[in-house]
Amino acid sequence: MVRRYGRSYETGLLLLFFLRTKPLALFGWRRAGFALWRRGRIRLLPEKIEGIDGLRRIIAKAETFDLPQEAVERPTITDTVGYAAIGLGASS
Amino acid sequence: MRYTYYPGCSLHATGVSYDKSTRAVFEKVGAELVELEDWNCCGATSYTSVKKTVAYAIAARNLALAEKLGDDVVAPCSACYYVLNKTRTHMAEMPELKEQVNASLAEAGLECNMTVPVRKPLDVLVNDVGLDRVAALQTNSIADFRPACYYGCQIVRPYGAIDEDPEMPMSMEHMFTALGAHPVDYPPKVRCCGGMLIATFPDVAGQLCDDLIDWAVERGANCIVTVCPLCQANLDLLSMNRKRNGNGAQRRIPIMYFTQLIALALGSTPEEVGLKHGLVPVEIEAPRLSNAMVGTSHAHGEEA
Repeated sequence: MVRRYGRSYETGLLLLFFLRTKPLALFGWRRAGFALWRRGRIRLLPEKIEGIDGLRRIIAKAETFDLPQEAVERPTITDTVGYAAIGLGASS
Repeated sequence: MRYTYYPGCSLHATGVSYDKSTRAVFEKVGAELVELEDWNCCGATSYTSVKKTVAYAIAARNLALAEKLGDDVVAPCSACYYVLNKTRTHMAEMPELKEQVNASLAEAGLECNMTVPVRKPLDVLVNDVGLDRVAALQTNSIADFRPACYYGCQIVRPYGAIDEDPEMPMSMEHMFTALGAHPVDYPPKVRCCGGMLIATFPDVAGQLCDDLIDWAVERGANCIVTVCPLCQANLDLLSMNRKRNGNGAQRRIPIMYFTQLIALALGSTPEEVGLKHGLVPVEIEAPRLSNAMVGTSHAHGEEA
């Protein structure tokens, strides 16, 4: 969303979230969505910044400093959390 | 007094009345707000969890643009306030991060040296303008308001916007007392409203908001005033869905921005402060209301 427009687009973000995770939950938001729209609090179209090309270059450069999450080495704790902590078997 | 105004994405959408009322208050107290040109999303609180350096870099772009103007940045949204301050602090504490962020910003010809502070409107009104001056500018009575002052969790820690006890801030209470309103004792003033859990785990956020409104109603408040657009949206949505309880007492109350109430006291009209955007109407029944307030109550009459 930020890469595309430079600003967050609440309506689109929520729609995308629900469509990707729990589409049926959208029905539960009908009344709230209508109320917000009626009170002028929902933008129908996203805003796009003028310097979007520069922002995309900033993002592209910054991404080179971020390792993919899968490649990040994390410490594994197996004996002081979960069931292992109370002697009911070690977690994997 | 001149400030660089960073509205953030929500003040152009669900928090539109915060935008209107902040501008109205600053105009009334004679402080100039210059909107940061071509600002971008601060990344909010979630971007850092996905891509750390990118999150800092997009927030730092705003700081770099603001440094060109040189004035203090005013960020009404609590998440924006938190993220921009976090970026400033972490860039100052971690030279490697600063180097990476500035290398990214250089792609667009920018550089961030953390020279401008990021502040909340509440801080500016209390510490730069002063309660005495705000009270001296009052033209309308707000004596019939009994606000529950709700600060939320992001402006008191870890980057306290107001120099007070983070567990028991009192700035808004002092402000509204000076303006003649009657703020109620409201212990959960810095509890979380659930934030974006309203979308991901609505049962959890719903319960948190329910508790916050229950506290306010039980303490005799007739509105909740807040400083955060996400808190306002969450509480407003939940308050809208509440009914009157068995004995007829009002179980839902309007959720206002603190700037709306101050602007009304300083003579702004309900239209100017965006009262029409609230999901629960402002219906203060006492007879000493200004004509403008009565008009707003009638305009929302179907909600009674």
